[in-house]
Parts: sequence; C-alpha cells; structure tokens
Amino acid sequence: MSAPASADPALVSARGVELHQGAGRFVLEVPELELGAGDLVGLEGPSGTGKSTLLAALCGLLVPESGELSVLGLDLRRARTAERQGLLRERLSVLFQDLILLDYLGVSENALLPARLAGPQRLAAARRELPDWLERLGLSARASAPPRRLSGGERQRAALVRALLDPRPLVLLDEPTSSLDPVLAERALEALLGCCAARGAALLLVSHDPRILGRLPARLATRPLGPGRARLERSHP
Amino acid sequence: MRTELYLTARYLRARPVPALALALSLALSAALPLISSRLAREFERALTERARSTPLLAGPAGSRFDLTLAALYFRSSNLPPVDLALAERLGAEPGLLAVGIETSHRARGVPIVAVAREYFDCRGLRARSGRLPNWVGECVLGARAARRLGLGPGGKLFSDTEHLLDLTKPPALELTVSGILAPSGGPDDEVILADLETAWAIAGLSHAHVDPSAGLAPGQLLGQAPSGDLVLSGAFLPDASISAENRPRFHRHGSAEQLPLTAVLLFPRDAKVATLIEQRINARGPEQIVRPAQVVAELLADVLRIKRLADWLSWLLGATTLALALSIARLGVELRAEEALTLAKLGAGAGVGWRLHACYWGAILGAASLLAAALYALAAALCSDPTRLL
Repeated sequence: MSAPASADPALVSARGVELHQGAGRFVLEVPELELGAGDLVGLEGPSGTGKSTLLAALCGLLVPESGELSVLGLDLRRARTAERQGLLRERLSVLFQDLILLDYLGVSENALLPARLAGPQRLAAARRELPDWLERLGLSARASAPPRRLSGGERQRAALVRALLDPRPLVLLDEPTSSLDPVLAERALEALLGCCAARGAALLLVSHDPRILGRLPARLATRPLGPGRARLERSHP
Repeated sequence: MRTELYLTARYLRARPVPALALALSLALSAALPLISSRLAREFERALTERARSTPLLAGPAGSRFDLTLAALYFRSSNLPPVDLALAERLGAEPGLLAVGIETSHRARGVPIVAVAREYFDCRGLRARSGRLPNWVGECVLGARAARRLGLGPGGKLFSDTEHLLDLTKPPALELTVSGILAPSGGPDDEVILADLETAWAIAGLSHAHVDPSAGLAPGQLLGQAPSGDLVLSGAFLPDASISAENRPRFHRHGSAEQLPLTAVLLFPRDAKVATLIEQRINARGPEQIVRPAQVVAELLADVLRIKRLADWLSWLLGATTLALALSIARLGVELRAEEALTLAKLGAGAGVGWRLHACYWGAILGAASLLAAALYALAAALCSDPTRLL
C-alpha cells in the first residue's frame, strides 16, 4: 500500500514495519508506505489504533521492531540517536497532538523554537516569516502571550505556526484543527496546504474530521485487527 | 548550549521570585558564617589593640568592664565619677603619665569625650583639617562623627541637655568645631573630642555671666546669703556660648579638685611603675586601677563562647539550606521533565534536560556567589571599626 505515486524519490519509505508501543502491548503493522515530495495524505482511524504511533515512528521517536523504515533517506532502524534527533530538528515539521508548548515562552518564542534549535540562519529566516504566519492564523495580537493565557484554539494555532514556520520537506501533523471552529479550521487548512504547495513539501495529516480529510487527495487509515493490534491501510473516501 | 542559555534566561524572567529567593537564601547561608567569623576576628583585633594601647586605667570602684568600656570605647555607664584630684595625684607619680577623661555628655547624640591635651599624643590623633581645640568651648570631631553631624571647622553645635524644662540646670552649651581628626580606625572616629574644661562648662561647673555687681535687671537679685554670696533668680541664665569676648569671665565656684572625671588613663614608664601604682591604689581604694588588656581578654572569652554557638548555628543553617536546595533541585528535575521531553520532541540533542538544569543552577549559584560577595564586602565596609558594635 502506498500513497499516490510521485515522480520524486520517496521521502518516506516503509516496508514490513512493526511498531510496538507500551512494551509490546500495542502493535501497529505498516506493510507498505511511501510518500513523495508534494504528496498530501490524510490519516484516519479509530482512537487507539496507532495513528500517533506512526507519526512518532516517522519522527524517529519510536524505533521499529522489524521491517524497513526510511525517512528523508535516513534508515531509522539503523540510525544513531543523534542522527534521528538531527532529522527531527532540521528536516521535519511536526505538530504533536499534545501541542507541547513551553509555558514560560510567548507564542512567538514558542513558534521560533524549532528554528532556534536548527541554527542561527534558520532562526533569522523564521523571524522574518513569523509576522506573516501570526497574521494568517489570527495570532498577531497574542504574539507575546504565554500558553496559559491562550484558549485551546489559540494554543493549537500557535503549535501550527511553530510546525510550519521553518520550511522543511516533510510535514507531519496530528489533529491540527481539532480545537478550531469550522471557519478557523478552514483558514488554517488553507494556510497549511498553501505552504506545502509552495514548498513542495509532503504532508501526512492525522484527523477525524471528514471535511479536513476530504480536502486531501489521498487517504490512509489504521484498522484494528484485534486487541492491541492494528494495521495501516489505504483508505478510500 | 546557546539555546539552553536562552531558555534559562527566559525561564528565570518568567519566574524571578523563586530564583531570587533561592539565590538569596544560598547567599545568606554562605555569607553569614563568613561575615560572623570576620566580624569576630576584627572585633577581637580592634578591642585588643585599643586595650593594649592603654596599659592601666584608674576609675571608681565597681564593674571593671563598665569602666573599661566607658573610658576606652566611650560606652554609656552608670559608674560614679572620680575627682580630678585622683588624676593630679597620679600625675604627680614619677614615671607615670595620667590623662583624665570625661565622657558623660553628648551633642546631637554623639558622645563628647573631654580629655587632657596629652590624650591626642597618646592616641596618635592629629587634625586632618582645622586644628585641635585650644580653648574652652572648642571641639574637634572624629572623622565619622564629622560625616554624621555634617560639620566642618568653624561649625557650631549644642550639647544635649537632659533637663530642657528645668531652669535651675545648666542650659545647652554651644560648641565651636575647631577641626576634624584624621581617621584612626578606632572609637575616636565616632566622637566629639574637647578639652576637660569644656565638659565642666557643659555640666555648669564653670560658667560665665554678667557681673551681678555691675547691675541686674529688676527681680534677678533675690537676696544675699549669710556667707555674702548673692542669691539670684532662676531667670538669671549663664552664657550659653563661649567666645573670645566672654571667655575671660568663665570661672568656677568650689574646689577644682572635686571636678568630675569618668576615668584616668595611665601610661607608666615601665612594668615596675605599673605594678607599684596598681597595687597601691587598689589596696587603698576606694578607686581602682584595672589593666584593660586583661579586662578585654575576659570580655572576649565570653563573646567568643557566644560566637562559637553562633558559628555552629550558622553551619546548621547552611547545611539545612543546602539540603533544601538539593530537594528543590530534585523537584525541579521532576517538574521540568515535561519540558525536557518537549525539547526532545523538537529534536534537541541528548541530555538537553540536564543542560537546562545545569544552566539554571549555574545562574542561581552565580547570583548567590555575587550576592554573598556583596554582602561580605558590605559587612566588611560597615564594620571597619567593629568596636561600634559594643
């Protein structure tokens, strides 16, 4: 199973992968997965069937037990920890479901953090882009507010700005619009798709929202196989 | 590491109060034992130095501690005075220099130490500006006293009067500042020094007034005593200031030998003279002679016992603070575990959590060290003359 074919070499390539969570209490099978530059793929599935587990594995935070998993040319089963951290730090745009904003930084500072970790040049470029992104996601007036003073939707948009600000070839988003009202969700999705198109980045977006998933040309799903086991499959709208 | 330093700065800015409290408590824990140790050392040195520079001290019978503290360090005391006659008798002894001292008056709260002229030579005191007092009514200010009073040569100040509403008591006397002493690093810096005649003038034992026989206002002359002395009204006030014009009219009634002194500093030529005079006066009484060095050594023995207890408490406080700091550090690791996880999820290198803690504690300990050094320096500056603590 693969996402729609792309002419470019695969940014993500997985074959016969088994991902174990919680010391083997949950196993996600990924028989096959390929993502190329510019691919826009939605990922759906019931809760607890491994969507976030797959994203964690693609980020290098979870090492597969078996199979082959390569992201942006890095074999994640054999890569050293520092290489996996480098991949995450410099080449992936990620939004985690739990948002993970630092409570002592404002929206702008949180948004700039990945670029700061990637180096001074990336930070300088991100600083230039920041006002535009805050404007697009309606956060200009909240730029210096710490997360504790933000609503749930504002926190989610802040995390989205952080994920998208520094341009990277692979974008992995876990429920980026779950706390947004339909208008804001649409606005965020427009910004996201426009950004991926402009950069030629591949997108894998986890969502339960059919309207969001309907905007993406390809779709994958995690299907439960029984207690503690699920499989990634191609899904058809 | 640059990111960790940045994050630490932001973390401290967002939570300044706990960080400051932690730094301050660590600074105090480190500085207090050092400061108390330094103070005790300086206190002992200054006290001993002063005592050693005064071989013998004659004064009224009573507490030798009170006598020494009053005569050498100018602390208030309730000891009765001794007569000037004692100083004159001791001064007449061969090989013995006797310097009378009177410390019972104050001006604007600062002790007025009235001394015989030789005192300045014995203590090595010299005027930094102006000159030493030559006349009754003049005074010279110790370096710190001059700063405290804000006066210089030519300045004026009144002695404090304890009987403001009692017209039968002498009024406050205006003193003229003749000079400022160079700093000596001892108790002389803190006081106003004047001639003994000035102290007696303040006490009303010598005074000036218009000649009653030259004419009095109606009602001022109440009568004449059988002795022939004139009895004057309380409204007839003596002069409240001393000038070149009225200085010749200053006079005393009664015997000069009974004029009061707080003590007499004694500078014997050698140990033999010292021993002889000490034995003779102490055997005869009622006055006593003490050796200030011995008195101070006894006093310090008590003080040092208390200091040892204070030291022990300081170290206990330090150990408690250290234990608290370690507990806080451990709690910090737990509280910031999520933050470290967040940074790991953003691709920060391995050990980012520990580096953040190291930066935080580096900042806290750095601030605590600076604060401790500042406190130590401040304490050292404030206690350049630790005898002020007496």
